[in-house]
Amino acid sequence: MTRPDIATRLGTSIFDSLSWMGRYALHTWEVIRCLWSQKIRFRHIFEQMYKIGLLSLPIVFTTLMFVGMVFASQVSKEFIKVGAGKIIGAIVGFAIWRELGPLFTGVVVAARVGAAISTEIAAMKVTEQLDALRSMAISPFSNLYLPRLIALILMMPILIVFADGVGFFSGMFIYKFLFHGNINAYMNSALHLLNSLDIYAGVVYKGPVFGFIIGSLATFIGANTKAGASGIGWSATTTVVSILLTIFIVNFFLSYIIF
Amino acid sequence: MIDIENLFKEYNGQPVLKGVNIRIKEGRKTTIIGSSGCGKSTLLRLILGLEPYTSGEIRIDDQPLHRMSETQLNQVRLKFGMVFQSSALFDSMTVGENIALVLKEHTKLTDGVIKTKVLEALNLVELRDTYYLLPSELSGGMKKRVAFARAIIGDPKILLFDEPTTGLDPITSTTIEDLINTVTQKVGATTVVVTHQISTILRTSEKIIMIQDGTAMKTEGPKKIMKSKNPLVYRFVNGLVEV
Repeated sequence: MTRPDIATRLGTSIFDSLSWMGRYALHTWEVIRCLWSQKIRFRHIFEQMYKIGLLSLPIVFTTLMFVGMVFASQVSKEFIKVGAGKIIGAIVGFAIWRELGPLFTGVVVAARVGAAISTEIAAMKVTEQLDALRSMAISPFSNLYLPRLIALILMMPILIVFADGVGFFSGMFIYKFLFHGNINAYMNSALHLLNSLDIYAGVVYKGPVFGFIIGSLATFIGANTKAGASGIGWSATTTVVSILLTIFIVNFFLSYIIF
Repeated sequence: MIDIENLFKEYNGQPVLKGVNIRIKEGRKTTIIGSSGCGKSTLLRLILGLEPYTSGEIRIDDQPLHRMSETQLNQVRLKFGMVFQSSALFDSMTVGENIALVLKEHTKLTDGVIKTKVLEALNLVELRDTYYLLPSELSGGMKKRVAFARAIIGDPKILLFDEPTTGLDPITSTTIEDLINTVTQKVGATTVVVTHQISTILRTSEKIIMIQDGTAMKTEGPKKIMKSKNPLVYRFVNGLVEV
């Protein structure tokens, strides 16, 4: 068999990508449509909120603590040299609240929750559990996908508030104990230079959007997995890579529009 | 009644079913046989509306499945109970929750009544003590029996079995075959069994259909099939390699 030429391969790859995006859009629309066409399963939503939110706190705490600490230490080193130590609190606050808090929370949740949702659904598909649900006239869209999507949209902002706090205060800890900085100066600079938009935009705008991206992509990729154990592995990898790329791209546009 | 007319199904341009015609009458026990990969399981999935077919028609009680929305298909699916090849029990739920699910979703029965019905179903498959166990704590044969209990709990009119005895030891296979006979007789359901296990073919069928080269052909009944006059059927049921 001859290998297809580059134009054919390029065309096939563009067609496949467009078809993938189209199927993703249809899947997401079908999930959203369950809001008014199917029963809302509050018990499932609360279960997912617990799994997604509460169980993610330790890893979000650890990640943002070190992000805040490394950022504050690098900034402090350079800013104190040029006599700008008094604005370090504001700089750390800007970085954490606007970008690092939401972004790193997105990354952590994508890796922990996105991959888990995707592999769970993929395993259900491979073992015919999704078909079993449908054979019992139970929609996987309203029973499995929608509760996860809603839980992510609701829990991401809460996780980001927590992450922002941890990142900012761990930065303060480093500033105080490694660079002998003044806590009042750190807090005052943050309070004076940051405005309310800097603080809430990451939580109110980025949080739900990132939650939506993680939930919709993880359920879509899980539900479209290939057969076999390799299919489950494929869905985990594809989910994390797709979510991270999407979050980074969307984050750029959101930051550009909001700030 | 299940009416299948000139049914075609393709996967990525490759035809699997090429004009299947089958009529399954109410209350009858029909077995579909054929070699691995011939499209037997696909046929069951098409009957349940789990996949769209390429052309032709499937009618369940005179209702054509073609172009039905998912909501309409769900109404039709309530007539069915299905036992999947892999049992397909939900591994995050206990045995009791697995069986109760369909009643919780589609009836207004109280939790107490549902539990009684679930225990009755478990009793029928002789697994009363497994109510609180997880599927991972069950053997393959027990999983099949739980799947069986789950399939009959909603009093379906039609029961579909995809390879119900494949991979089980002969004694467990016999238990499952007996269950298919006794339970379906008790609930009066139409059954369609897809299998290539000879014991299952002989013990659970009234009518046998063989899928060969993407089309369906009628064969002799279970009493005569082992001496079938059709060479293809004869070779298949006797496990003879074509020379």
